[in-house]
Amino acid sequence: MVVSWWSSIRYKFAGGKSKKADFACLPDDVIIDILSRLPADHLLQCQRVCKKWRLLTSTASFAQLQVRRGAPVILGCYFDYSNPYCFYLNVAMNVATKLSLLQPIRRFLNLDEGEPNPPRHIVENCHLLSSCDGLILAIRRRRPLYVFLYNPITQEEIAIPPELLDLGRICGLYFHPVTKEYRMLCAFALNNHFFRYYIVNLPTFSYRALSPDFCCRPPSALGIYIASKATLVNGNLHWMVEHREESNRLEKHPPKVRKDDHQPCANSILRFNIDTEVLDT
Amino acid sequence: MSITTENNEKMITLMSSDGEEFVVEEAVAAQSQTIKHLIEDGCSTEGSIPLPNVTGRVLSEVIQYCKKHSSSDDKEEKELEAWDAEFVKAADDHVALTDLMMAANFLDIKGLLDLVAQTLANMITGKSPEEVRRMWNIKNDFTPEEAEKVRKENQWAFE
Repeated sequence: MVVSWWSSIRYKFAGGKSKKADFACLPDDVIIDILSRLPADHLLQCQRVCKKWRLLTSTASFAQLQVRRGAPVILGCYFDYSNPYCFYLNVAMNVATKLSLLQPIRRFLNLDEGEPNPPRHIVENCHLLSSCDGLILAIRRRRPLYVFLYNPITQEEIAIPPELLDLGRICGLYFHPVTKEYRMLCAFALNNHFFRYYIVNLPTFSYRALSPDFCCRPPSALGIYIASKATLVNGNLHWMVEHREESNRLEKHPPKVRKDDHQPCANSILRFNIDTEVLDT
Repeated sequence: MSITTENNEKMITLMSSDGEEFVVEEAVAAQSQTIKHLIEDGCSTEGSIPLPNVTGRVLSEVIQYCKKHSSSDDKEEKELEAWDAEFVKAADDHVALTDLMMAANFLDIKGLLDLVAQTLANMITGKSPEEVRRMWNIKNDFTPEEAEKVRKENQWAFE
C-alpha cells in the first residue's frame, strides 16, 4: 500500500509536468494490462515501438495473460485419415505465445471455400504429441528422430534436444503457473511394469526424475488417435492407460510386451497433478 | 463509525492535488480500493482524504464513474455498458485517458481500469509503431540494426 502510494507520487513528479500524454509515467503493470488486450498482430507491431514494450511483452506471464484475455487459439485440429501423418490446424490470430525465433516452418493458407478466414496451418509428416496454449509439440515422422515445439501463430519452431528423447516418451506439455514456465512430462520404461517419470523445463531443457517410479504406462506416443493423448484439465494431465503397447519409435529401446502380459492400471485413467507432481489413477 | 442507511449515507471528502474538494457518499468512494483501505485504516475520520496525484479535473470524472456504478444494479448492465462507452468517448483523447488510467491505477478501481485499458488498447490497434510513439511521446530506442531484426522476426504478421 505504502509502496504503491509512493511509486505513484514518483510517477507524478517524473511525468506530471508535461502536457503531453506520457506513457513512460505509467507503471509497468498498467502498460502490460493495456498491451495484453491487443490482438497478436498489433502486439507484434507494438514490439517495434521501443525496447521496454518489447521486453514487457516477451515474457511467459505476459503470454499467459494474453491467452486468458483472448478467444480460443486453436479453433480446430483434425486429421486427414487419407494421410494420417498430417494434421491441420485452424488458428485464430489473437495470441502471441512468443518463443525465441528459429527456422520457420512452411505455412499454407489453404482455405476451403465458404469458410471464414482463419489461416490454416498444415504441419506435414508429423504426429501431434501434445499442445498447450496454442503451442504444439510434434514429432516428425521420418528419421532421424526429431521432436519440436511449434507455435503456429508466429511459426516459430524449437527442436527438443535429442538427448532428452532418451528420457523416454513425452506424455504431455503443460504450463506451470507458479514458475511460469512450460514443462514436459516424460516417461521412461524401466521394464514392462515400471516407468520412471521425468519433468523437463522447456526453456532450459533441464530435467529431473520424479520418485517413486510408477507402474502405469504413459499415453500412447504414436497416437494418431486422439483418445490416447494426455489432456490438461483443472491443473491435472489425464490420460487413458492402454491395455497393450504398440510398437514405438519414440523410444530407442521399446519394451517387449507379450500379448497376454497383464498391465497394471490397464484401461484406467491416470492423473498427474502439475503442481504437486503426484501421479495417481 | 456511523450506521449507513438510505437517508443517512456517510459522506466523506476527497481532496485533489490542486486543492479541489469533493464530497461523496462513502459507498461511492469505496469503489476505490485505495480509498476503502484508507477509510478502514481510519484516515478519514477527520477532515478530507488527500489524493496528491489526482487532479480535480480527473477526480471529478472518476467520481462520476463511481457514482454511476454504485447506483446501478445488475439488471441495468446493458445501460451501464452504453454509459461506459459514452464516458470514455467524452474523455476523447488519449491524453485525458492516460491521466484517467493513472488515476484508476492509483485509486485501484478495477472496473474503470479495465474500461480505460481496453479503450487505450483499441486506440493503439491499427496504428503504426511511429504513430504510437508520437501519441505517447515514446522515444524509439532501437538502433537501425535492432529495428530491422525485430521487423524480420515479426515479418509473418505483416505479409
